[in-house]
Amino acid sequence: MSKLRRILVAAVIIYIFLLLSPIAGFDIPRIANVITHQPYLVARYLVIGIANGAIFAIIALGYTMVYGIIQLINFAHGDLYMMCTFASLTVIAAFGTTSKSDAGQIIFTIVIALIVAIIFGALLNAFIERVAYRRLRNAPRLAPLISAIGVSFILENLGQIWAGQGYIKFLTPYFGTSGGAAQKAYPDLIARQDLFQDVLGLKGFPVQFLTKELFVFVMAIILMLALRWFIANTRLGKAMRATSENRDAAKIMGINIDRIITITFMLGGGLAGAAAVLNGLYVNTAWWFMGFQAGLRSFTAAVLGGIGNVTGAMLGGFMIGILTSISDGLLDPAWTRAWVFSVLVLVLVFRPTGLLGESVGQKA
Amino acid sequence: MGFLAVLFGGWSPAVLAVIAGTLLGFLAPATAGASSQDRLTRNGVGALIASTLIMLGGQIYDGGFLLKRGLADVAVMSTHPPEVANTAALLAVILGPLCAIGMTWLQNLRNHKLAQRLNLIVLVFFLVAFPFVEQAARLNWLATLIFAEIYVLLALGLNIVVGYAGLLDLGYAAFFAIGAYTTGLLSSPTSTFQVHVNFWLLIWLSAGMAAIFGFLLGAPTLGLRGDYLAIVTLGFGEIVPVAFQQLIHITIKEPFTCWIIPAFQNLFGAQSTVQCITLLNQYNLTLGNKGIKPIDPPVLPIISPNDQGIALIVKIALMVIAVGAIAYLFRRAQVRNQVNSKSNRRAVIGAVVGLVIAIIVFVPIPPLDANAGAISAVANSVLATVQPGAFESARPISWYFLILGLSVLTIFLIRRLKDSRLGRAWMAIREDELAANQMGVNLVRTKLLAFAMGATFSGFAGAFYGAYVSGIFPNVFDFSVSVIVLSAVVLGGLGNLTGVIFGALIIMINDRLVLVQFQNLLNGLQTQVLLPAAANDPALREFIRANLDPVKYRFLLLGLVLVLVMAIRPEGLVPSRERAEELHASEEDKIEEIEAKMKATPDKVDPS
Repeated sequence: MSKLRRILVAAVIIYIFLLLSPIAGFDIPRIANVITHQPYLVARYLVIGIANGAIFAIIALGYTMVYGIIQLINFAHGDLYMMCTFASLTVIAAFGTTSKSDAGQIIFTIVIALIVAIIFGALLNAFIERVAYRRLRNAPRLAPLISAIGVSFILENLGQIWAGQGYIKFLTPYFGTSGGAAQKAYPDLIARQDLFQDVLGLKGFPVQFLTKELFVFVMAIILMLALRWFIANTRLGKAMRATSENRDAAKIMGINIDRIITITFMLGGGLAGAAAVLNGLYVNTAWWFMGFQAGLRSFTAAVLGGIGNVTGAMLGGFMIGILTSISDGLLDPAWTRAWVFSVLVLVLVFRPTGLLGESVGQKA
Repeated sequence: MGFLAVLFGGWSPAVLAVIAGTLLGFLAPATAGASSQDRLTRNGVGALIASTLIMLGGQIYDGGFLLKRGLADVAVMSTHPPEVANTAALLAVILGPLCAIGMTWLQNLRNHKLAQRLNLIVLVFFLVAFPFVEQAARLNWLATLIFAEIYVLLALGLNIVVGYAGLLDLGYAAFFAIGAYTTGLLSSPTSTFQVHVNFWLLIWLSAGMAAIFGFLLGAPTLGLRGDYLAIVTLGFGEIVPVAFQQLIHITIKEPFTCWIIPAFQNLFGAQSTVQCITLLNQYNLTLGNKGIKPIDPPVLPIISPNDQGIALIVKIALMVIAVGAIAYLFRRAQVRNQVNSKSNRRAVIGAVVGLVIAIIVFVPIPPLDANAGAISAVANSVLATVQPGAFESARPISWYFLILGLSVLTIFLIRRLKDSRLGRAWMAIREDELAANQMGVNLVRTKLLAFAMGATFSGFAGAFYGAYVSGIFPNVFDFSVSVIVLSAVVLGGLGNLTGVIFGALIIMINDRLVLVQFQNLLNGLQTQVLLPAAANDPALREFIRANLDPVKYRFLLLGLVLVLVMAIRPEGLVPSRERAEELHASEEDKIEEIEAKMKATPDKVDPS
């Protein structure tokens, strides 16, 4: 009887979903039509999704490492990523490199921009940790989170001052109406070449796959593998794992907790810096509010994969990237956020610790 | 405060001095252990100094001081005649210390109960008198204050979720939006429903709607760990404004008839024969970014000013019966709860007060005979401003009292809730979920109710907001609203009603009033003094013009405040007792304390 009831309830839920989801772009006949008639378009969305997902995954690593070690949702991480974008943009502007410069200069600029962004992100994140979070290590959990939100606001405003005056949308009379925001062009340093058609010479290959997508993907994989190696094989990585497992026990074992936490923040910040350069080279736009959305999606990715779990963050990042691009392309871009969060809620309802998260007990 | 007086000038020094003096008198005695006579003198002197500073501030703004120093250009900005400034200064210096001394005297009273009651009376007097004084002094603070009170309502609601139940909700603006949109959809000539539901009914509908969505959000997610819940609520808060923005061409087609059956028929090579049922086609629910406006203002329920004779009597009788019934039910509930007889008396008093307020608010009192002399003239002018015949945006006083009433109702309800079985269950969950569960607290039900109750009050706020602003737009309810409300709750002191109210007022008044006025002042300074002075240096001029704008640094200031408050006083400005103890006395300290007590009085051990 109860089984029948369960099936009935599921059927009703599915029916209501089918009835209402076209409002948010999930119109099955239309999607089926696109898939059957333009399969290469769908493949193209997958490629874009993987490239975006690689960037989300790198940012998500910063979230998940920090969460793993001090159980803090580092709200400012997305905005740190935004600041890193502007730092690298400043470097590129200082070299005066454009897409028309010669290859040597472009490679040199990208390398320098990467290094600067990584160092900038690492130092800034360590500084933030020192100033805003360290003091609150034993405070109730809400305190560092609020502090992180405060830091996020500060960074957003600094980014605005640094990179252009969008209209500041914040409690303007009658709660404000949105204004235009200053978007900056990030120079298109990697030429728009198609991997299959231009590089490999396969004329007429149906799916577009830009070289920059390959670049982003390869760089992301290298960074992730390096991080994995670092955590698994070095002394510092071991200390980090020990600290996130049990901070007090690690302290007793002679691990300098403050130093390990600072290094974790630096690693996360450096990864955010790298992600910022990759994203800039790939998407070619930057604006002061980019950190919020990117941070939100990356954090979702981290949660999806199982927060505190590095592999999970990578998996979640790619999933969110693909989901986002599919939703943008096939469903309705305006509802992408809603779809991302619906998937998050669904995953969390059925697997409360995320896809790869181990079942930790409830931590108050 | 002196700084504030610099910003506003005019009559503000007098008002500010009274507020400052009263606050000083109220707060200072609690912090010092000196004898009552000493305190009286000290607070009087303190208030005198404060008032003098305030007076000087006013003098700076209005130019009395600057003119003598030759800074005539700055003084030109003042729009008040000089005698206003001088009178205000005099009043400030006299009234400030007087208020401080009076309040100190009140606190020094031996009879604490009497002192408490008198304090309450002073508070009520201030709240009631403030808008009239404000209007008389032409300060233009009331609109901001009404907005601040909307945030007070929101913060009180969020305090239930975060402060009592300990569930972190980062998408609280969503419920605010749902409340506002319920109001907008059901009482606007531009909405698709074309209905005009009475506001007094609508606030409950909005609150109920918000509560339903609280349930809907809570039901699948409350099993989650704290941080996951935070991120899910954040996502919900992001989705709701998007939904209101996008629900402008809703097309709903019945899936079976429109594609599932035809698809199968096509699969087997048959011609599709089913007629597609379209339930909605391009239906525009929320008008997207255009927003819903105008929205009907509240009107008097039941009784209209035109009622006369028997109709009026019948209607008043109906209202009395209704209020009486509520009071009776309330009393019965109290008796059933076996509370002591004293609070029954209180309940009756509460009901009578409610009745009187209802009559004052809802029943139009006819103006007195104009020929009866000065008293009737005064009474008539008071009646004209108090009676909310219709709520117009041009008459903020009626709105002020409406939101004040809503706030008082909310505070009352939340206080009752906090001490109820449910409230205690919330706090038990906050302290230790596992232990609470073992003690028989139904976790899911309790958390769901926390979400729903929190949402209810933001529904109130949303309904009021919609009616007051008379227009709602989806992008108003974004993440920054949620964060500001959360900041207010945390800044003021989690779990403490007074703290939360103060937090919301401080943040909103700073943001809406002080910062804006500061900007005006700086603009004046810029155009009158700085730019002429830097006339030869275009780069400097450009720099001044671009950067001398405090409103541009709002985010920065708010962020700094959050970080600083967390670093210095993580329990908030006015913490609740339990939290302060929790945060400041670590386990070791407590043990030491108990040990010290044991040493001091070995036979009388206080285990707490």
